[in-house]
Amino acid sequence: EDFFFSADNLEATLAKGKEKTILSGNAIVNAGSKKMTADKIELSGTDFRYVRCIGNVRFSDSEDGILIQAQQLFFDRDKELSHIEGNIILEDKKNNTVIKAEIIDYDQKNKQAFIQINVRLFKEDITGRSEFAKYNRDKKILTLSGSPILYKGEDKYSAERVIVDLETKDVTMEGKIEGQIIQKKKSENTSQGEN
Amino acid sequence: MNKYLFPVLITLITASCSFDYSEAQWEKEGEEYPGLVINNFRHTVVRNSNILAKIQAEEAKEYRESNILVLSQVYFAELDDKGKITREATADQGKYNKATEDIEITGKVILKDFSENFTLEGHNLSYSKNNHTIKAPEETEISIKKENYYITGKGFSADTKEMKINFDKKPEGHYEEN
Repeated sequence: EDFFFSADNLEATLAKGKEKTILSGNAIVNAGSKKMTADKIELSGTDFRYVRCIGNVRFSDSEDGILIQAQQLFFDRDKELSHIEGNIILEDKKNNTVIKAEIIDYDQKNKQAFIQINVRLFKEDITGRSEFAKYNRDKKILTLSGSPILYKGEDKYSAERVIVDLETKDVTMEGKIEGQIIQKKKSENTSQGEN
Repeated sequence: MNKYLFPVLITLITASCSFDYSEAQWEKEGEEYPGLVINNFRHTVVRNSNILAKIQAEEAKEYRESNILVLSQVYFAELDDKGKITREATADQGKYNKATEDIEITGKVILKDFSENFTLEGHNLSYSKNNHTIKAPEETEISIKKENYYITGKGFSADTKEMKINFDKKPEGHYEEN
């Protein structure tokens, strides 16, 4: 895929086999529907296979409906694998879901993300947190593990594994399940009607 | 025309700095007056019967006082030991300082490096042999093409030893996948 780039400053090594380009200051790389911006972007490897973004990273894919903000992002253009680190906010517009974490490894071909450390999930009235999560974007399934806690409305659930279907918003739990269901008080008028 | 005249002339040029002109009582060259003007200038650097470099120019002017050679419409080629051109450059005008071996190019310049497979195009470059750097004036647009990779920008400089280039004024570029 062709790509375009710009920045405040560019440093490049042209020697054969050592090609590397460092964009610094408002660095931008556009590749089809993908756009990366960062304080610094390094393009290296054969045919600039590797893209490393450092500082105030924003990666968006308008076709895929993904927006990622983080401190570092490393992208392998051949394998379409990304390793993302630091205060990550992943917005999945197609599934109306926001995920926060410290580390995400995203396999774009298979649409799978492995999420680690301080995972937070926000999906309409569902919020959750855990240490790990697996996100299958195609199947719209998010699996939380590592002390997961999930809030759905005012109900609170915890288990060893919590599986959320982002399409149906069904929640499945496995292992040591605990739940706290908040019963809403019936309002007075309905009670007079009954007397 | 005497077949030895031209080689002798060329040898005179390359060895000219070793002559002591005070004795020759030639007219003293001012800044404006070149000591020697050659049209259709050809200069070949040979070592161990291998041609290392060729310089051609429509006009060459030598200023002996300041030890400078000014070449107009100049073509330069560097060859490897098999006689294959590894680098070549064309420029509107080049000023070569024989003492420092620095080069100042004015006007359009095209530099092709066949070993590293890139082409540089722009205007007004200066080369410092001592610092092995090439520089363009801040506002001069320079473009570089390497296979399917293009960069253009201002504030250009390059380290010829490290093969590193730098643009510090809004560079941009693109890469075309094979």
